[in-house]
This record gives sequence, C-alpha cells and structure tokens, in this order.
Amino acid sequence: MGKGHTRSTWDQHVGQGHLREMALNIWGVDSREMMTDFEPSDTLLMQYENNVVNCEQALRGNRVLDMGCNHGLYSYMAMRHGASHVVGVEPRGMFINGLNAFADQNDLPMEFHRGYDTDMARLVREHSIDTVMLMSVDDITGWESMMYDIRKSDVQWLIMQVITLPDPWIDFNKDIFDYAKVGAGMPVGFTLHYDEHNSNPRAGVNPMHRDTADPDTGYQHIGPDGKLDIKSSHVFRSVKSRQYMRKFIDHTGFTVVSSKVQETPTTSTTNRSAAYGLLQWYLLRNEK
Amino acid sequence: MSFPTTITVTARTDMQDQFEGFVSNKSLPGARMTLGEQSHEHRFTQSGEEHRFTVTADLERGEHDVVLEFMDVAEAQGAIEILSLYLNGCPMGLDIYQCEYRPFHLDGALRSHLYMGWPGRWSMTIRAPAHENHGGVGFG
Repeated sequence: MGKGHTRSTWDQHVGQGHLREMALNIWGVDSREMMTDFEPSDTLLMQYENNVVNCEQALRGNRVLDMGCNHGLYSYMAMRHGASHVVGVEPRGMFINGLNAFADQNDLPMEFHRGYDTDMARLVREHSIDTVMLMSVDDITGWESMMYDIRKSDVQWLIMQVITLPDPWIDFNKDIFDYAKVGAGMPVGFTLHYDEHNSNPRAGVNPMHRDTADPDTGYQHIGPDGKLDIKSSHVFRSVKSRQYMRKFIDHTGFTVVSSKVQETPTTSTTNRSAAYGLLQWYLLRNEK
Repeated sequence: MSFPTTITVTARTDMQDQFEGFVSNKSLPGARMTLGEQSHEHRFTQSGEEHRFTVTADLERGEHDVVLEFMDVAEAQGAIEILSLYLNGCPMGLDIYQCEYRPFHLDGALRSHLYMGWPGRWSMTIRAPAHENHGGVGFG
C-alpha cells in the first residue's frame, strides 16, 4: 500500500474533531494550538498501516484489548476500523481519565483501564477479548509471559508491533561454540538489555516502584519528598533478535498470518527504533 | 511552515528566611517567560506563591529556547523555583533537567538547576514540531 493510499484511508477513518477532542481530554487546553492543523507524520501513518489497516480482519466485529494503549490513538483507530468494543490498558491516569471522558462524550464503544502487563490475562477473560494488540511493549514488559497467557486464552488474534534486532548484529565467539560442544547447544537468538530511565512516554513501568509512581503521569523519578530520585525510575529494556522472536512465536504455537520487517528507517519521529528501521509487525492467529 | 507550540512553566517564589529578607530588604521577584516572539510576565506578590506562565508561539522547524528570567537584576530578591514544564500539555519528565541557569552576576552556566537562588536566566531547548521531536507529546 502506498503512502498516499494510507493517508487517504486515514482521512476516511479519522475524525479531525475527534482527535482534537481526544487531545483536549488528555493534555488539556495547552494541546489546542498543536491540534489546529494536525498532520500525521510518516511514522504515524506507517504504524497505522501495519497495525490497523493491514489487520482489519482481526479487528472488524471483534472485541479488542489494546495493551499499553498510551494516548489511545490506535484504540480509536481499531474502533474506527470495525472493532465492536475496545478496551485500552495503560498505567498512566492522565490517559485513562482523558480517554474515558472522550469515549463517554462521544458514546464510543471504548473503555480504558489503569493497569499493567500483569493484568492482561484477567482483563482478557473479564472482557471476552477476541483480539489483543501489543504495540511496542515487547521491550519493557514481560512479553514472553503475555504471549503464553494469550496463547492459553480464548483470544483469536494477536496484532504485534515489536522491535527486532537483525541477527548478524551479534557474532558468537569461540566460548559460545565451546560451550555448545559440552552439551549446551547453540543459541537460537539473543536479547540485548539496556538500562535507562522511564520518565518518558513509557513511564510507570518499573514494577519495583509502581505503588509510588505519580498516578497521572506514571513518573517515578520524583520521590515522596518531592525531590529527584532517579533510582526509582531506573528500568531495563530488553530488545530481542529477529530469530529469537520468530522461534518464540513458533514455540508458543501461534500461526503466523503475516509478518513484515520495516523496510526503511523513518525520520521525524521520537521513536528511535523506527528511526533505525527496527520495527517488525506480526499478525498471529491463535488456533487451537 | 510554523508549528504552534504551547509551553506552560509552573514556578514558585521562595523568600527563604523571612528575617534575612527583612534585614536585607529583599523584594518579591518578577519573572518573564519567553518562547519565540511571545512572552508572559508575572510579579509575585507573596512568598510561596505559585504561578503558571503559559506562552503559545509559532515556531519554525528546529531548536528554540524556552526562557524564564528575572525581570530585575538587583540581587536582593527572593528565589524562583521551577516546579514543572508542560509542552503542549504533556508534562516533561527528566528532560526538564536538560536546562541551564545563568545567574546575572556570574559568568557561566549551571546545568540541571531548577532553583534560581539569584536573579538570572533559566533556559531549556525544545525542538519544533514538538510531537515529532519530544516523546509523549501529542500523537507522535
């Protein structure tokens, strides 16, 4: 699908008034000017195409759970592309409260809950979910646990946007081969671990300090005394290799309906993985 | 092409020790926030007062400074502490510490300071359009 076609599909499905209202409910009046002439960036359109447009068969008529829904744009887009009901889950109150207000004002079949990846299995059961969306949560959550939970559930479809590292990034050294010879076997992939602070759009994900996170922003870098406490916002991000991700999906038993690696890096984005061309999309079927 | 950008800085004045303030005839400060060609001024009227400085400016693509500076240069003034910064309504996290504070009477800049104990100029660089350059701002 070309960029122009994606844009025209966007225009057919997005209500500009809805976007302004969503922003107003989430970010308040300070967002008004920003949204006056809002234009989706190429990165946004690329994600929209691969997570929503190309996955319509998994959305239309289905009950959808958007895990880590952030500002709710993709929850909204799932609904506009035919989802019968959307449940968004997110740790930060400013999004949950704003999005619920927006959904109520417009009588839209969407609801948003404050929660974490560890709440997913329960929410899937409670809301009779058909389709789960996991967008860019694979590096900051217990992704493997969620995959097991989804596989064992009655969920039919899984839409995933993940960060995957090209396999040639890591060459195994002699020690790995020697270890293989004594019976360990050769690795089937790798995961790189990065430590950083999560006082950013992914705030609220350090499980050690969830209870003291700011309920609205999820920020964990301010201590109870109001002083900077960067220890509490410290978090590990784990990025997996393409082969490991593929092997794990095989291992869990999902059927791969489609898989696509990002073709070209994008500019004008805060998403560093998109800027480096590391996104990958999967549409998986949970056949029993 | 320009991008309308709204910044809100919440700042609080701190008259510190009231007795010292009386002895040194310390005055309540005023501050001016500037973004692009727009600015907002406020003079604090009591110790501990919090004020929201909001400015919307049309910014060309690229880097711009948000500046909060004392309106007077006299040293005998209360302090100003920056409490938060919102970019298009999105609260800045640790990024707020990517700032510099230049007291008027000193050469050089103090980095990552949110407390302006002396009259001076606090600034932080933002990039427009914000939703393409700052994580968590708008539908980026």
